[in-house]
Amino acid sequence: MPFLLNIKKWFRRAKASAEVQATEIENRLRDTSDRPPEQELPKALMRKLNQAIHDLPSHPAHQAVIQDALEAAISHWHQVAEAPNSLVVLGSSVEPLAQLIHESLEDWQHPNLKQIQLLQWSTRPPDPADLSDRLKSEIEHLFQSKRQPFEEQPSEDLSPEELAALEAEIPEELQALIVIPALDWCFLRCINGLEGIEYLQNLVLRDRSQFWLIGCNHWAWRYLDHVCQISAYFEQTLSLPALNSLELKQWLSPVETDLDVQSQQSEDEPSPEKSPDAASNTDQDWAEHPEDWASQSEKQYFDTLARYSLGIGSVAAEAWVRSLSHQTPEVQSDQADDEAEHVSPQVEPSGKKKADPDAVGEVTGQVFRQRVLLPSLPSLNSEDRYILFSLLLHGEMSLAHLALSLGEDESTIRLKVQVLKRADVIELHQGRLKVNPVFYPKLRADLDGNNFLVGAEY
Amino acid sequence: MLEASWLDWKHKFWLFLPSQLLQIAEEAQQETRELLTEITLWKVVRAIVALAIAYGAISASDLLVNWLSEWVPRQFRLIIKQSLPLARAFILLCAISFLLNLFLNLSDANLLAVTGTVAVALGFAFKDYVSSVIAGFIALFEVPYQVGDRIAIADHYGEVVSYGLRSIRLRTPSDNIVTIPHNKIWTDAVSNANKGALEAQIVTDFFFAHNVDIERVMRILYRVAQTSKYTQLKHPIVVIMEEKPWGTQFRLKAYPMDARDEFIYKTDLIRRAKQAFRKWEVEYPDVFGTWENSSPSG
Repeated sequence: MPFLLNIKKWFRRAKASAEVQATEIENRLRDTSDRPPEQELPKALMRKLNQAIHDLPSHPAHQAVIQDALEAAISHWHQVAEAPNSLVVLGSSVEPLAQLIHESLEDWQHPNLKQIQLLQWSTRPPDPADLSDRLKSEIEHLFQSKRQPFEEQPSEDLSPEELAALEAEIPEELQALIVIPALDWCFLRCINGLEGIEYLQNLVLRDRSQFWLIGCNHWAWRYLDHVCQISAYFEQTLSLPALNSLELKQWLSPVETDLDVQSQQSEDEPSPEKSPDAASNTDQDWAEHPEDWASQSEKQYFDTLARYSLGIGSVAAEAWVRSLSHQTPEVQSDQADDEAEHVSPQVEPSGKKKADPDAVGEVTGQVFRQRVLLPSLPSLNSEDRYILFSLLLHGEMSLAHLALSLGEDESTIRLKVQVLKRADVIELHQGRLKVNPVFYPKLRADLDGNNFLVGAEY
Repeated sequence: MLEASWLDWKHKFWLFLPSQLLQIAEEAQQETRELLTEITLWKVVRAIVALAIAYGAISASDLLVNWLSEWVPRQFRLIIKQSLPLARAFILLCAISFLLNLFLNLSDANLLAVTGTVAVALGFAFKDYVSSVIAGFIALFEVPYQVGDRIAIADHYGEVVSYGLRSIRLRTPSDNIVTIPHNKIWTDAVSNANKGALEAQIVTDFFFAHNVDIERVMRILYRVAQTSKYTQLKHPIVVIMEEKPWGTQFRLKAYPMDARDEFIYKTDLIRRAKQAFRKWEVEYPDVFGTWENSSPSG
């Protein structure tokens, strides 16, 4: 029964939340007087970390999954006339899906395809009324460059019979892969903002001479499915799998190696997770594959990281940064020294960096991994939830687009956005607002419990 | 002779009557003593304390349930609020049982005497009150309304915020609290908009001229509902039409995520729809022109 399932889900989340709070209390109560006190990361180190995280490539496991699925789908499309001519890659709202798709196709080839045409957008066009026209012209441009010898009139003016005849004339090597890295760039939740999606739906059905690869986040996909029945037009979907602990470790290892990040000492290790499933799985995996891990505590750490981050790379990276602490060689008796600056572990908004004379030069001391902790959400009211839901639906967006998607004036929502930015829930990145990935698991649970249409990835 | 015997009989009767009455009164007093237990000061104190505890428990359960219902995620709010009447009924039952046991000897005969007497005496005085209490008890099982429901009963519409022993309280859209006795369900129809669910259908009416572009209007209305931040997309959105002599009526039926947002949702739909209608120059009905054309002098 759905009611009992909801109760069960809520208890599961409550249990996870209680575990997090218990570990926080445990951490605070632990006596660390026998070694130098730990400090938050210096600004220089934090900047270096954030840049390193930002520069990390997308996970090879995800790239492999996309390449394998694409290869199989295109081969099937060539062999079977009625096979779907599209593949939609579904990922989390806070994952850089466009980057993942770009990197997956960098060195990828298929014998039946001679061209890969990517939509040359990096964000949503500024005017939503203009969105569908710009999408049409961009896609027409892609077709033009592919069909130069055959083009006498735009394909949308052709009847289905004429189009089929034209397709039959096109040599196979001109069949192309059309890539839309992020479908959320092609729509905005406002009255005129869905015309681009309708155009794409009609185009995919009408023109079967190309194969479409589209990236989309789960939230937008579910929304578009309810509004436009998009899954009826794009039948094939591929949900990116959750990253496990070993995959996360391998992904973060270049940065860890560069900084020489260590685990906590064994006598200070936190006790194994109370969850019986986690403990038994950890012990079993450790016994089976000890060569993959430097120590059992390392495996426990990454198991916790994978569980708390829901297997999402960007969430795990942020949580990993927040779990780091720094020890300088000398004992500092006064930890509240004014010279030890408080470091806020967030991406600094562009244009607001302060000059920090103390941040130049090598960072001394040792960086340790502590317990993984996801920060708590601030108290949210209904207006905050509408704003955050809109951001998760669209991936990232400007303030003007956010106002349009909420049906409000910019001036009305600017104050609320500022409050959420101060609480670190929203980040500003290159003039666009997005949800801080580290809050994603708790925010998703909160919105789900408040009757929002969240992504169907779990 | 005859007169003497009559006088004698009268004398005996008047002597006999008081003694009989006295005997009846003594028997009744004895029965009463057997029905009531000995009333001591300690019993009175205990009764007062029991009443105070019952009152405190009811107030505490009100506060706890209201706080808990606002603290948990929205989807559990109504479930928690709906447990309040049951908690109140349980506390009152315990208190009344304790008091009855304290002051009465509840043997079979006594119980019969007590209930019979009390029922007759109070029945007429509290007829409507009892009717409301019984209706409230029946309503717990029949469930015409629950706490959190948006109902229309008699001339009042609002959200049920309290479910008492005798009555419910509605908070109207203008933030008034209306108290409605339960016995209204015997005679009046109760229209329930959400029946325990978080969402309730909202119907928004739009009126246009007869020659309006129907397809465009319907498309705009669907998009307005689909792109509203309040809309619950798990429920269907429907636009229906109806012809009027002076124009065409369109009814947009959709659900907000929270029934409490009913009026702000409707405002959002109308505001955004009118922006789109203005942009497309959609025509509204010319009601006064129609009246002038159809008037006898015209």
